[in-house]
Amino acid sequence: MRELIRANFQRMFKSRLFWGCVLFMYIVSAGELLSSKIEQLTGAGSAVASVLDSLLYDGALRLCVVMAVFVSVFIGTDYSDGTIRNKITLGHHRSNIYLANLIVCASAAVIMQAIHLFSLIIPGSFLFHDMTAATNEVIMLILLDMLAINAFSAIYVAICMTSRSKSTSAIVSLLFVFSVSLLSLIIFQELLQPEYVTDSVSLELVRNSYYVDGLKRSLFVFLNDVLPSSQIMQLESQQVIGHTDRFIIYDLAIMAVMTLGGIIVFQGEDLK
Amino acid sequence: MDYALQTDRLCKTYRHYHALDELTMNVPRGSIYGFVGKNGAGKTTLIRLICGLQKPTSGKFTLDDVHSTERDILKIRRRMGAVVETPSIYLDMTAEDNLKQQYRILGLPSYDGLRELLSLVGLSDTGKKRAKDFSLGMRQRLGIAIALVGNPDFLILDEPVNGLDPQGIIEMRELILKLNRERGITVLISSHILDELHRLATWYGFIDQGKIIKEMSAEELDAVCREYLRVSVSNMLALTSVLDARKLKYSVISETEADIYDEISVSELTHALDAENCTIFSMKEQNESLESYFVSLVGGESHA
Repeated sequence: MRELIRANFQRMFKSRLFWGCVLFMYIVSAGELLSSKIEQLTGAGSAVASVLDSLLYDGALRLCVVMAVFVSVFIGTDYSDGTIRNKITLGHHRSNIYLANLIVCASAAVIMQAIHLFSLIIPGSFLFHDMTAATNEVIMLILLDMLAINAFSAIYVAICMTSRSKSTSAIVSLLFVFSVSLLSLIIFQELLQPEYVTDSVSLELVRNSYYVDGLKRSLFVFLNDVLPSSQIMQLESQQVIGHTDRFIIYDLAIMAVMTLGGIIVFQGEDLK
Repeated sequence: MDYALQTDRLCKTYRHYHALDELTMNVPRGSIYGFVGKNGAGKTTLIRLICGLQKPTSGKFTLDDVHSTERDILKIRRRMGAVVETPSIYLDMTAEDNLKQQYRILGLPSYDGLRELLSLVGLSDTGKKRAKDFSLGMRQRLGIAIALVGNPDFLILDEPVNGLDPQGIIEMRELILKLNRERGITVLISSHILDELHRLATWYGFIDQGKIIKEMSAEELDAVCREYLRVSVSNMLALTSVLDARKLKYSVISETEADIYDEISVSELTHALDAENCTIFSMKEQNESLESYFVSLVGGESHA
């Protein structure tokens, strides 16, 4: 498997797609930094305790969308160009081919996330001087975000390794990430509803009709912990409803299940 | 005899379609094995099974006497190269980068021999040109170069001259002959272009409807593609009874024509047919081509 990983890294670093994604992450992060500074200078921005902190918590969901494109095209190329045949003909186990792809895609996500963070922290600390988050908090945030992003990556790899078509993989992966993100947003908004609100007429505390309770609330809380997009939203908004230790378990479980399932399907496929 | 590849009643079924039907074949080591068959006969399916792209429904095969289900088959596969249908190349990479990828996949410690491989296939001047800008012939040659990384003992080429111009076909033929002669590489080559195969192969396997109909050496094929006498007569019944009486091998082509494979005295034949009131319109000496032999194997009447 080492040989496959080395070959994949070599291909990735020569790939215009990879560098395009890296450049995109850098440009968007730098652009956000610049626009936040302009807003701060003109007084147009919203008051936040720390602009840099809020920017740091941003970007993970964007990376999930970028990874949907990257993984689909990177792995899909092996099918469209027929080069996966070279690996199998030479006797590499299909499980090793799968895992090598997963490892390299996960590494790509780490690199892109690192570019995003460095392009914020280094110039940002000069522009804003207002970073309040403790180092261990930032590290924990980064690790949790990385796990969530790689849970998505594991899903994309499973889609790509079993669909064999670059375009189908890209469409399905993008549809998936947007659909799941939308679901996460709905659940998050529902869970944020307070149980009691002040009536605008009587000024008394009344029960909020939009408050979700009972079985539905339990389900929403569960999904809020399980869905990687929900985890990212909670971390980005700094309003964690669930339990961050459970995030780790669920993300690892998603990666394990998707990888195992993907390998089983891939091993049984007749390739042309 | 040593065999690079042996299959034993190999079957492959897709839903209800039997692509391979108890196919048994033997590829001698060091040979250029020409794999001949119609479209849909099962050539590419067999190649896919041997390369590990698909699993057989039943039956088995061995590569260098190692069973396909044994762990050691992985080591044997490292000594194999294949071009299956289309060349497996990264279109967005240069020829050199494509070869480097293959070196990495094989786990070779250095890129020794890379320049020589590019020279061997005539791609040493491609520079930074990406494979997507190559002509079909150049892509085919790059595919072969990739298959040659690691000095394989066994090379599988599925229709390597498809889409090549006459010059390209000649170059491909010379390359294959050179690899077999100088490096002793066993080559399994499937092709529709029978005349081209005739210039290359030292062994033949004829496949039809998923089965090997016949395997033979080039010498045996040359003996079969032998001279014969084509006669045109007025009474085929008379001719066949005369030939049967003399226990001569022949095959009826049409109502008035037949091919006689054994030696026969023309005077004697004329005399015998005259006694049966049969007129001979013409007599010609001819050779059987690989094409007509193939057609006779997969279809067409024969009394030979």
